[in-house]
Amino acid sequence: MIEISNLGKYFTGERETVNAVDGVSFFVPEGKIFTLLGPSGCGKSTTLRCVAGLEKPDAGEIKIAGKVIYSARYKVFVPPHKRDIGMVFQSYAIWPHMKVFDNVAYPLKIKKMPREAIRKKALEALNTVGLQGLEDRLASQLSGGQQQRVALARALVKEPQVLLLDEPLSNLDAKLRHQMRTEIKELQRRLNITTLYVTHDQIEALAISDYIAVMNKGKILDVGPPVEIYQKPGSRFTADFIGQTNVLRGKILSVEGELGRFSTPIGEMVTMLPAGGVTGGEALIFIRPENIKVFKDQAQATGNNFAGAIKVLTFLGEYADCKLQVGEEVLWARVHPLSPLREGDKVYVQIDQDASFSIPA
Amino acid sequence: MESRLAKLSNLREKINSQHIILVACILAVAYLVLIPLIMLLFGSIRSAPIGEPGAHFTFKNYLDAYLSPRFFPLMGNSFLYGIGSCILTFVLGTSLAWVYERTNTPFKKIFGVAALIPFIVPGILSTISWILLLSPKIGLINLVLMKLFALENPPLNIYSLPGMIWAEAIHLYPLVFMMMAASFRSMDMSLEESSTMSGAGVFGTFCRVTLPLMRPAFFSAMLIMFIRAIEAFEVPALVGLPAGIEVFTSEIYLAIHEYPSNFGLAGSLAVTLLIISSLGVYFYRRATAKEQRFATVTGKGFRPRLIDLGGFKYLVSGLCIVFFLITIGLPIFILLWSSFVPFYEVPSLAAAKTLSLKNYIFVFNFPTTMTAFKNSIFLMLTTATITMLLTSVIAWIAVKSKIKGRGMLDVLTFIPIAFPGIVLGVSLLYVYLALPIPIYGTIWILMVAYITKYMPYGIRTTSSTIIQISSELEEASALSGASWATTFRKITLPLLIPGFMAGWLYIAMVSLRELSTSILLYASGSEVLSIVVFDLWEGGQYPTLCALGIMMISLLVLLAFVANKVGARIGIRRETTH
Repeated sequence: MIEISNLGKYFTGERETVNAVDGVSFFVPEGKIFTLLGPSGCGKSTTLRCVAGLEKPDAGEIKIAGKVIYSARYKVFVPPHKRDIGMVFQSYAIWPHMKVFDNVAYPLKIKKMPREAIRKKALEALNTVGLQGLEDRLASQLSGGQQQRVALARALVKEPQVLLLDEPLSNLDAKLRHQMRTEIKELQRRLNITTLYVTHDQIEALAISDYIAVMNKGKILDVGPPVEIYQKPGSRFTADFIGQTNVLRGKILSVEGELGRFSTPIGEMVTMLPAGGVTGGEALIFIRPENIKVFKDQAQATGNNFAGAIKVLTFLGEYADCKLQVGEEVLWARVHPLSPLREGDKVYVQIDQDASFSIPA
Repeated sequence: MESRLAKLSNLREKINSQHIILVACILAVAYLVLIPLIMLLFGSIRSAPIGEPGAHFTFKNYLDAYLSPRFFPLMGNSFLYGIGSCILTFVLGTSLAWVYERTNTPFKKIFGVAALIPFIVPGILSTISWILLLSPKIGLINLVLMKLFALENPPLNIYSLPGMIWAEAIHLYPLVFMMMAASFRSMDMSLEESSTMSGAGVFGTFCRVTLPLMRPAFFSAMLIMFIRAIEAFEVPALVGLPAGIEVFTSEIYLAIHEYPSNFGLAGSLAVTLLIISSLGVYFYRRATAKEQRFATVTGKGFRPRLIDLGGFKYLVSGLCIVFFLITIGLPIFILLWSSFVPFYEVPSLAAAKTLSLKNYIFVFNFPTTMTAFKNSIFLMLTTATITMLLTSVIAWIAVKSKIKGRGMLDVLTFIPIAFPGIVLGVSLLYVYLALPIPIYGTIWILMVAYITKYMPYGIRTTSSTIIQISSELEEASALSGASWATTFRKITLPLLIPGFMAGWLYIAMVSLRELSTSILLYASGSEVLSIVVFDLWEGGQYPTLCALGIMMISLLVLLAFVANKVGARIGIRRETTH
């Protein structure tokens, strides 16, 4: 539905040119949510704004439903108001001088639809986002969550081919964010609208997306469904950015099918081989904290296990964060909040061979 | 063929409505700003007025001006006058701002309003009121002091450099008050508090933290005051000329008004004054840039902690009351009094019996004043509207668009801030005496002058409003399918209205009392109110001019009141526009 190839956007600063978007390509299938995830300044918002037409790219091509809306080679640039796109902004951008109804009806008025049809469609859209009865309010009389819904209704009212969402939840408090996240996902499924979503929040990205593209410094590092991105990230950046990760540098001692025996600073361990891993090769081994098991008794620990000690134990409600000293290395683990472990305990740390993964160093 | 078509459509895409408007704005601003500037510079190095046959390039005008025995005292007086006014306004304005923002003085809310009143009174009227109060012969204060202390000679004399500085400073200090109150208000208290927590006492904190933080604000306030004083026309013309104390503005006025007009001398003096004020503006801009670097505003809604003056607060309050009685009460009283007496005479019980409304009735039946009223109101409405419309578009382009050349537009629009009123008058004389555009001697030349003069004020209010309108509000409109023009009409303009109204009212107020540019450009039939006041003064018709003055002040107070109401509404609006 949305096809982007070799997109480039360069900002010329005083001293240097910044490659805000540097050869980005991806494809968003019809009816899916595709998320651009990355730290601030990674180029995700610029990419989104290029799709919207709010920024003019410097290179590449953008197609929506097979139609070229930007092409550097053929010098095509369709201005934003001629693109069939709905967008929700980070600040919601609800016009303060108009009532809720007029905000939502605006795109239809621009289309010069008949008055009755405008009224019907705008009210329908407000209904869809659960704001029936609020059409005569002013923007200043709405809560953050309600403003967000108005913005959604306005973006959807002209039934665009594509919906763009620019950090739509970042201005909401934690509880509301959780709720709106689910609502946006439900709405998207119901309307089956192709959606490009931008966020810096990995949990949000994991929760809402069909596909995630992790971006850094203007480039896409990894693309895939949330589970794959989380479990088998293709780069150290992705592994670090999505969730907390322990990283060990290892040397492959021997290869046994898909598994390899590694020598690491905490001792020898068996885990999945990186792509193209051969004996003598170097690899980075990633272990998620929730995949580390901690036992007081060595008899309970099986497979890869190492002796260590608990340095700090932090109770966090849903779980407890455990800082472990294993040899010269510090590892982080998550344990049950009510576990009998105490700071200073000598423990055994178990890392299952299928609970970690590695990439070539 | 096909490639040609493609090129054409490409060209059409490039030349959209934005570019056309940008070019139109640049042309309009260049016409208003650059042509007078160029003509002034060019005219000042010609041996005869531009357009006259046989003229050639010469530096004679400058040599005549600089080598004249009058030049050294002129320069000295101008600077003494400028520096004196700047120090006095600064001391008055800053002390009042400090009392108002940072102390627990009783009645300080009223003082805050009172400190703005002198700004509403037109300069010519405040000057006249001070002459009526401090003149050695008829000055009310002098007469009272002589009687009270049995003096033989009047103790005070307005016809002196200190007298001029006093009259100017009392008119100008509200500006310092506003600037300094804003800086006192935006000062982050935690900076002072952390100094206290580090062990510094009240005095130590003041010297080591408060003063250094305020220094850029002090400096820029003083520079602005210096520029305003050296550009001032009313006090130098009405007080300085009779006293024989000439400064640049009055000397330029004399050069144009002698017969035949000495355009060469006026031009070279005008360029010299322009250079001085431009340097002032340049240093002011540098100082304010530094001020921004020092910006102590946190943006959080906090109120600075007030300093408890203890028993002194009653003394301070009393001093303020006396100050305002003298600087506002007395001038307004003397104007009111004079407007009701048949012939000017010092207030007394005997004279009080002769009070009547005759002067007001006379003003209404005097053809020239009625023409002036019509002209002034017409100019007020048109100037304010055109200036604000023009600067709204310019401000949008300068702040929001990405078109090349927008920076230049912004700079161009700001240039007139460095033009003293009288210099602008001389420049426009040059332009419309030479160019075949027949507006010389009509009301239209005044309109062009006012628009040029007030563009910087317009651009300042509109661009600060536009900066507050989040770009996303406009982008949301584009993605709703609206073109740039539709977005500007339906989103940007409505959101701009509060700032537009505030700027409109301000320009309306200042154009209603404009004198220093009009004085060189008016002709019979295109008089404005302040010109009539000036003429009545020259003709010695004090009661009539005071009646007219009271009417002007009433109109201005009404405008200020509306502006204040609108200002309050802007405050509310700003919160909703992010």
